[in-house]
Amino acid sequence: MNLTPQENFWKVVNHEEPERLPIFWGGSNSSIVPSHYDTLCKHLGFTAYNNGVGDFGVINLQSELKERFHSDVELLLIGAPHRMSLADGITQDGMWGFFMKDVGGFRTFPDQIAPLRQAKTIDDIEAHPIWPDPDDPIYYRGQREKAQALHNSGKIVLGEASYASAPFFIYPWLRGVDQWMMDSRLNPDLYRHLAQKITALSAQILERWLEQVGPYLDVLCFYDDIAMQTGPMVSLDYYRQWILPYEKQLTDIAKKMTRAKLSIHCCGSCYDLIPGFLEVGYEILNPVQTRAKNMDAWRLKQDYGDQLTFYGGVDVQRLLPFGTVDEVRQGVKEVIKTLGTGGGLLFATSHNIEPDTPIENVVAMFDTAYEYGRYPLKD
Amino acid sequence: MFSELILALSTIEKEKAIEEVGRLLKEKVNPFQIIEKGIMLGMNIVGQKFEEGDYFLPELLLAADIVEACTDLIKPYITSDQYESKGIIVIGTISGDMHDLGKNLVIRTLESAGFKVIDLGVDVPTEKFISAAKEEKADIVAISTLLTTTMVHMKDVITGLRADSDLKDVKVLVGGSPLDDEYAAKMGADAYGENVVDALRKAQELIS
Repeated sequence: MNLTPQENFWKVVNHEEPERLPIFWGGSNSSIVPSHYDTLCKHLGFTAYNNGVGDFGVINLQSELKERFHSDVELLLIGAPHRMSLADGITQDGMWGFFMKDVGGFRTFPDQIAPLRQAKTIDDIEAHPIWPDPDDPIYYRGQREKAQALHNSGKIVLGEASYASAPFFIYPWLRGVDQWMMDSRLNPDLYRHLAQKITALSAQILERWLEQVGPYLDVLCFYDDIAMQTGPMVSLDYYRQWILPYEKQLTDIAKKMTRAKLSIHCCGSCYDLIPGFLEVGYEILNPVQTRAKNMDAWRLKQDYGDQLTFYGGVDVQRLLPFGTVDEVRQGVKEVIKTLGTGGGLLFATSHNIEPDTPIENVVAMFDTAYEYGRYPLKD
Repeated sequence: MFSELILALSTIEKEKAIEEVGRLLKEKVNPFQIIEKGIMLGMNIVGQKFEEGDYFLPELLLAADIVEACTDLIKPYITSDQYESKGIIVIGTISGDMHDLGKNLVIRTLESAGFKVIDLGVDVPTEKFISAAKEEKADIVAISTLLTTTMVHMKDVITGLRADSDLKDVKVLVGGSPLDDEYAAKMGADAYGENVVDALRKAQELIS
């Protein structure tokens, strides 16, 4: 192999076939849940390893683990304000002030305790006590040096501004998902005010962070979960009117400040929203949940393979947790062949690996991706 | 008599719907008729539009919000000896899962169709489903999940119900994105609701 992971990546996203399929393991949504990370490390015989959840709930993967699975990615995660532990297992985010609860090893954001759930007026929104301060050095401290070092390593640098690049994660975590969905009709002034406040603060932080790290990134991730298993949560028209204008403020900044390809994370059946995603300027689709309606790998490649790179694709709802090792190997090859022919695939799971996944399947998945992902792909 | 109410609900006009319910109550129309011939038919249209791809989650939630407001107006006019529900359903999100958006939509839809629904909330342990089914004399136990890791607890609920001679005939309806008909059948569930509208359809079939 003559090309570095970065060089392979740039071929893939320019829709050329690389030497080897880039393996993405370690982003916030292409990783593993904490309890299973522990099991995985023990299974592989690591006696000393990072064992904890880092900032924004992202696992700090042990480097030996990334090497074992031939991951080509290094994560650059923006700095995070301190979280506050409260009673009953609830923590409060230090950036936006929403509440989280660990349930069964999963980090949840219960609607029932969303801090702005009862808000009725713009004054109620403004009275919320925790908003991010773009001047806080916590977001930026040491980031330039870290980004440079990661870039110089030759690995693909996956930039995550996390809660500064996810306006419609933050909105429902502050208001509740149901209130968010109804606000545009029942209280449009409140919707616009809160959405714009979140976006404007995010934009300031994102811009200052990119001043430090922009030149060194290969991927810059954005987030918006607006799809379900059976279809999008909202229509394309709704997306264009109520969500796109805010997202585009952030991607416009990104386009000026980095050559990194912009990735949108949207779980579920988001096929019908892809035209909107392209209008915002996204170039990579994550996590590619192929069991969701209309998200078949062949359909995505056929309809959008020349406009989008696919970051994800290996099913974590059935294949990975419940398939046999042979079924996993075969399934992985099919994903690679379907989505990766002609470039355009960054190999990853369709979300984080969950505790019900046999370790043998995890190993088989990554080993198959590494062995089979040599171009030209075999039949 | 009910066409304006049906239209208001099906076009998500909350104030108009509330106004219509108020008018019908003032004219001393039977409250059950308002529910069955007004609210339920309006929600049927909403459900149809959702399945046809004209309505999405915001419309479903807004319609459910209207249903709640309308039924709050109607409840004082219904005495307990008049009330005869279509069936009793105990519903909750399974242990280990906090998601409730889909469950809450299903609750509103079932209530609008005349079911009595007892909401157990989220992160509901197996034992609570079983004890609630017994206490409420449930016809159906409805279980929701969004996570593959909690599917095993659904099976525990079903096993527990079947093992209890008082509960072995209770029907089990499951729903949530990691499930499908095949998996639901393997677990021993009686039905799987693919979405809110399908959940109502399956509940009505289980009762009939």
